Amino acid sequence: MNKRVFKFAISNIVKSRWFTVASVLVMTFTFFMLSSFISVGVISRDVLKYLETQAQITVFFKDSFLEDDILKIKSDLELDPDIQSVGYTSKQEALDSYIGEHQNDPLLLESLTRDIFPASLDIRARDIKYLPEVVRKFEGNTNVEEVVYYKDAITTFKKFSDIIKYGGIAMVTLLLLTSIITVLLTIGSSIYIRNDEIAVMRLVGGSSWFIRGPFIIQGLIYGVVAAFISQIVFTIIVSVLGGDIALLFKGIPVVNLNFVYLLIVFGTQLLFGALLGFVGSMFAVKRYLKI
Amino acid sequence: MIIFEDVTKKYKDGTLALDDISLSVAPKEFVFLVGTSGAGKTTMLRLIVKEELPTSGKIMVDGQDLASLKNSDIPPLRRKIGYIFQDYRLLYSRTVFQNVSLSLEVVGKTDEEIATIVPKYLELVGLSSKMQNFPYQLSGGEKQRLAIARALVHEPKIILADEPTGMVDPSSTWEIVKLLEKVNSWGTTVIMATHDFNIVNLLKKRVVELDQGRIVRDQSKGSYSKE
Repeated sequence: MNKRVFKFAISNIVKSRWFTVASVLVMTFTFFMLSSFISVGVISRDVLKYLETQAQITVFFKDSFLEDDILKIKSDLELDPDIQSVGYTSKQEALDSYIGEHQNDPLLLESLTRDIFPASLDIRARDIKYLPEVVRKFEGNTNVEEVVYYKDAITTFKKFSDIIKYGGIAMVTLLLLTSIITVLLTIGSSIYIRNDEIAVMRLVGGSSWFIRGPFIIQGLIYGVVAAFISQIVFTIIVSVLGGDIALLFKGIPVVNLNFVYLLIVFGTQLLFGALLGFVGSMFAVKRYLKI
Repeated sequence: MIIFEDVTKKYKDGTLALDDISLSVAPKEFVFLVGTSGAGKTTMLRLIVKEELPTSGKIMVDGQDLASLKNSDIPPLRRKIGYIFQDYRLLYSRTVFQNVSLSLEVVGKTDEEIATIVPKYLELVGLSSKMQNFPYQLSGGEKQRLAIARALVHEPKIILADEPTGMVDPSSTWEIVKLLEKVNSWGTTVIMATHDFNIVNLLKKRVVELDQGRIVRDQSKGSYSKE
């Protein structure tokens, strides 16, 4: 790259310093929101995936219904191509599991016996759409105590996840547009400041790149600097909240916000930064700089 | 060197700046373009550097038909031409040296080359001692000499001077004219638009007179009077 073109770009930035601050701040905020929404989106996708892999229907049987009969139903269900897996939990296993979860609360465990825990089947369909059919099979069955159906919980979470996803896309798109307009106005002001110089450059035979290049590089510098600042802020926040996030999703295999993840986020921000700076400055050059 | 063939220039507002002009300027020639304000002198100069496009007709500069030039061919064309304005068009945030060096920067000369070439031209125009001054520290005559140095530094084949003495005192006027005559003696084609009949009459060069966009006189050793 011609060092003079780069020098002119730096000089433009210094001359429009307050516009520069405004542009970089708006872009930094945009990239930070972009990183945040990407992260929230990835985590909610992982949570949803996890929820979908968990038992989607649990059928509790009456005490009078024998284990052999339950296991017979299990075998029949396993032959169904729509069913992915069926797990049996006996009364004893249910008691053991409860005790395991509440071992720090002896008062609660004092009067427990296996009789109060029903035996159950945990059923997972290959697709969430097959669940209503499975539920219908047990409805009206006199041996069934209760059917717990998790589809609504999953659907609600899926809706919540979609709202985050589409809301995020809309908000980031709006911010990206705002950033492009800010860069356009900033570069436009730089072009205005250098109007006389540009006129002279044109008349002494300055090439298109020599005249336009500094403004395009100026936009690229804004994008890259904003990506760096946003990454620093994002890394600090992830470092501070990382432990809490891990605690919140304990037991759920969500994406690890580690160095590799931060590097990917940084790469994305850099890409967006360069693209946004380039697009904004190209618009400005096309709009305000006639050669 | 420069050929105008049946050139007409009509602006969008309906003003007819040039009306079917035909003119040929040979290499190394010194031509005065004279005429009242609005006669079309500046329009002719602007057409030569392709700052304006003719409404009709053909313009050739150094063997190139301007109509066939692509946008990327315009900078090389302009590097063959030095343009001097009545109002100097200097960059007031740059020093005298930097104003001249800009012409070399755009063509990609190295800092070392610039450091060697620029002082030579500043010496030619008598501004060696003011290299680090800013244009606002110069007199009108010095500003115009600086503008001439900027126009000459990339060694153009053609100099277009648009009323170069219009804003300077009489003694500076003669310095500027002598400079342009010297440049012409080196083989550079010079076209100078002027109102100043004293200069025209003294130099006895070719005179092309314009009136309302038409050439009304073309004399090889012409003169110019107030009427």
